Amino acid sequence: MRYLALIPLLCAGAVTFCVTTSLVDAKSTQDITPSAQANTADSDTIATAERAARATHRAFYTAPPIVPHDLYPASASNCLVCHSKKGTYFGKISPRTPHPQLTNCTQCHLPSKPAFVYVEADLVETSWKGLETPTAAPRANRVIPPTMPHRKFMREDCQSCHSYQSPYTSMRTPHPQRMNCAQCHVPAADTEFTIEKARKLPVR
Amino acid sequence: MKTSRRDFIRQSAHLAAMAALGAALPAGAAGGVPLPDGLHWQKAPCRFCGTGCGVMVGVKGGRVVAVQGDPDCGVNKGLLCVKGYYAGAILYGKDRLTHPMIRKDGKHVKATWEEAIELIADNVMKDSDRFSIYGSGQWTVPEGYINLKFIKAGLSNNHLDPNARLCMASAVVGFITTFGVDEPSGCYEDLDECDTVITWGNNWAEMHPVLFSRFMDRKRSLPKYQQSEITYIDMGTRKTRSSSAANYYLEFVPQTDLAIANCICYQLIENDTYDKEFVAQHTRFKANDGADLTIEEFKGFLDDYTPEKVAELSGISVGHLKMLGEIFGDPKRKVLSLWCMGVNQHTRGTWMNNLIYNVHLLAGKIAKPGSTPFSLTGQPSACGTAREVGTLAHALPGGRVVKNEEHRKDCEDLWNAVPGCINPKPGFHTVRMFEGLAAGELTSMWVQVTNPAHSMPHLHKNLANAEDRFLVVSDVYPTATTRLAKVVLPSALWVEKNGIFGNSERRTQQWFKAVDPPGEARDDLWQVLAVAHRMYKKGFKGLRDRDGNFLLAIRDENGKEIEAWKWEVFKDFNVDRVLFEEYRKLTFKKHKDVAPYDVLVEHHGLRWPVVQDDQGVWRETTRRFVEHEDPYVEEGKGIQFYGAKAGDDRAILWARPYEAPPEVPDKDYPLWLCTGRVLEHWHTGTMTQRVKELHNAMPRAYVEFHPIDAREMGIQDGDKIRIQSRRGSIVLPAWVRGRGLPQRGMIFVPFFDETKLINEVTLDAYCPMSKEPDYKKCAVRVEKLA
Repeated sequence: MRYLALIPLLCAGAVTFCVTTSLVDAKSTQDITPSAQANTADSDTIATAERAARATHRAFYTAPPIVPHDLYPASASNCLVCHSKKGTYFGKISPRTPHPQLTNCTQCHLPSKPAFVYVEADLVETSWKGLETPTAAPRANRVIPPTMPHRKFMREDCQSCHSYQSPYTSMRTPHPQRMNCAQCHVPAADTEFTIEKARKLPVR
Repeated sequence: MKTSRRDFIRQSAHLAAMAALGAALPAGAAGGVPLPDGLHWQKAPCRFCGTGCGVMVGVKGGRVVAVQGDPDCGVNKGLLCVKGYYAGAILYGKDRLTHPMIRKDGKHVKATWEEAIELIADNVMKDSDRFSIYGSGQWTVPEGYINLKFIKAGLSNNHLDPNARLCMASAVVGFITTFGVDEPSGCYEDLDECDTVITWGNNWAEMHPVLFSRFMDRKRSLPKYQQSEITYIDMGTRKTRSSSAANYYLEFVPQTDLAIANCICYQLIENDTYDKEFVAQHTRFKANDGADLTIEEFKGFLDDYTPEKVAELSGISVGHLKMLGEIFGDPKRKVLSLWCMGVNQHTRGTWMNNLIYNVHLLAGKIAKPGSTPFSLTGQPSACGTAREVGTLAHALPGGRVVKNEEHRKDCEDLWNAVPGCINPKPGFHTVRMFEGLAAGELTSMWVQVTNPAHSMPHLHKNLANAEDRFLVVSDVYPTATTRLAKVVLPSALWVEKNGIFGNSERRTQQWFKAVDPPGEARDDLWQVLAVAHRMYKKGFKGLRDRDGNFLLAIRDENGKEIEAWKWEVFKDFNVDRVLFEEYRKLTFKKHKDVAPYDVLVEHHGLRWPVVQDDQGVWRETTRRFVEHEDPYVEEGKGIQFYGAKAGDDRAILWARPYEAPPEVPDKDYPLWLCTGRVLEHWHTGTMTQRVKELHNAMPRAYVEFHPIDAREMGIQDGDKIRIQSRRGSIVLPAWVRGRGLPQRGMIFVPFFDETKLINEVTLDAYCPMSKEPDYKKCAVRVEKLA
């Protein structure tokens, strides 16, 4: 029986281990409210800073994010301890996965450093420059709702990233009470691809 | 900025496409700075494994900037793995080869294409019989085809082999011996229909992750009570990420997979649970030497493989062996067997392939939805190029072989080549080719799209003297092989050229060039054309056709020859289309009909045989040998193995016994060594190690131990370990609870790291039928260094 008492302790330990290195600090972002966003100059600065922060764990816009914390041992059940629901663990915000049906997490999400600490990564010299995050979603005019700048595939759950608890304030929806996102926000024309578009490209 | 003709066409076509679709004007006409302008998406198959995922390549300003999964491609339905997402970054490593180089006084010196082509042409002409081409399952279909035509018809020399010999050869010979014709009946839809998956020594969670997820996600999406009806059994010698997801992980002693398969067959007959009707209609039995057997005689052969005896040999319990027997014996179960390198890289790889077919044929679990044996391929076009085009020492396109006079004549006639120009004697297979190069039986070799100085087994022996031969290497980055080369040619990579790949499930996928290659890098296809044409101009007789014209001439739609050997002409003309249409004519004989090029352009890949129906629609074949799916199955037959050599439409069950491996651990070398891959890296890492994110996640090789072995030897994480075999040694850091968990008495080392060549240590014993080496088992000893 006395081992049972250890279980909550072990769980808490595992969670702390996962989140201690998270890049996003809940405190710093939770202060920002819609009234703060009213000042456009401020919100532009914040948005730029947040885009830059997000870009550090994506090789290009739309790439699956790199895991910003330690990832060992990697298994779906470990990842889902924090990422099955959105929440704040020990002061860090953990986003909820928008595709909980996919359970082979490390198939797409790489760790940012080797799991095996005894080998070191070299500097990789590359001229790769990935697609940049758009500064605003395209819209036909100023007064209609913006379109989605990325495709919906695997991101059907808008709340995962755009909820009012999103770690990135510039990505939070200003109207969290509205739940039917696709009613007003349609995908931008260029984000979905079709074979018709692909085949009309010239032959050489 | 000057707009080239191609850019102009591209831009106008893109605008036309957008207008036609009624798309909004480029976003940003009002409000904000929106989506980057000029971004467009092009379809392509992924550059890496044999799964053949469809990707959409985002191109902006003449550079690849993003890669996403193609949601309309039936292979992956929008999902990719890490290698796929970062495939765009492989084009942009800082050390891309951008100009030809020739080695002078031990140093590689920048050269012009003119000098390089001249030098290669002279050297090949000087000794064309002792020239060889070593290629790859990563050749596009037209690249493989032009190489085959060049060497087999042009030089009357059959020394052409791909690295697929190290990868798929056992699968090919397995198919040919059992069914008479290469490539599987099944398709990826079987993953959506099966209720039991058995992997035979295959870590598909890391090597074919998209297929693994296709199965696992389907399972997890079901209600809980239905999930339990879907079983995944992993049989292997090392516990992997796949094993962690399995219901049962059955660990066996290396090489005893032969006995396990026979044990399942024994139980099916002994318990009388085999599919009698299927066996009577569609199969026959043969002894190992080819003599016909009755089912009673076959049963007699199996008597050595009772569960009790096999349990003792393999280490799998009698209960688990009986469970396997029951699963295959249950007529309601839909069982899908998957395997890849664990079975193929095996000194009895061909037998092992035959044995898996035996199990499925006896159980009648083949060519049925969700119930079939399915051989996975390692490389993106191992099927499309190496196997279908036939870039092997004995083969010709479309399932033909050089030994067969009729087959040779088919090719010579189509190519208008001089009758008799194709040599009936097969050339050197891969290991023999390198032995020949080392011994001087071959004086020159052209290596394309592969890195043998890293990937060949027993490197010390097989790559000896390579530096002294006339070695030409076409590649995109400096590799272990380019270091040995006399001439290094910079190549175009993936979407820097047009291409066609063929994946594991017979799917042929086409793509268009999306960006220009860097510097002076040029297509491998052009390189071959240029060298061949130079030899023709210099009067090499073999490269003249029956009318004295250039044998490899590329003709436009009006039949007019174009000067494709000139880069300026080549780069603005779709040579792929011409060559593919020519090759297509050779695919009908063995019913491997590929779709016309223009049809492939409009699809996300089509699975052959692709045949036009009465309405003029091109129909792909999901399951081969099955009536109403495969157009070549006769009416009323149900299932017809029409490839059978005897013409009786029967598949053959071979009595293949267990055979001990050539090298087993002993007193001096007490451990098994197994080698393999990791999720993040592709083969020898030349491309994926240039991607920052992939390199950071898995920078260097390591050696995995079983924790109990490690404790007994006093080894801890990070200790420097010397691995020594009878052939060579390397030093690696130990990782005790690593990516995988090898069985007791075994260590595992991934082979991607060019600074730690594990192939200095591996054994080059190979399957005598397929000539495929066994990278999965040899004996080593380890020593902890201070």
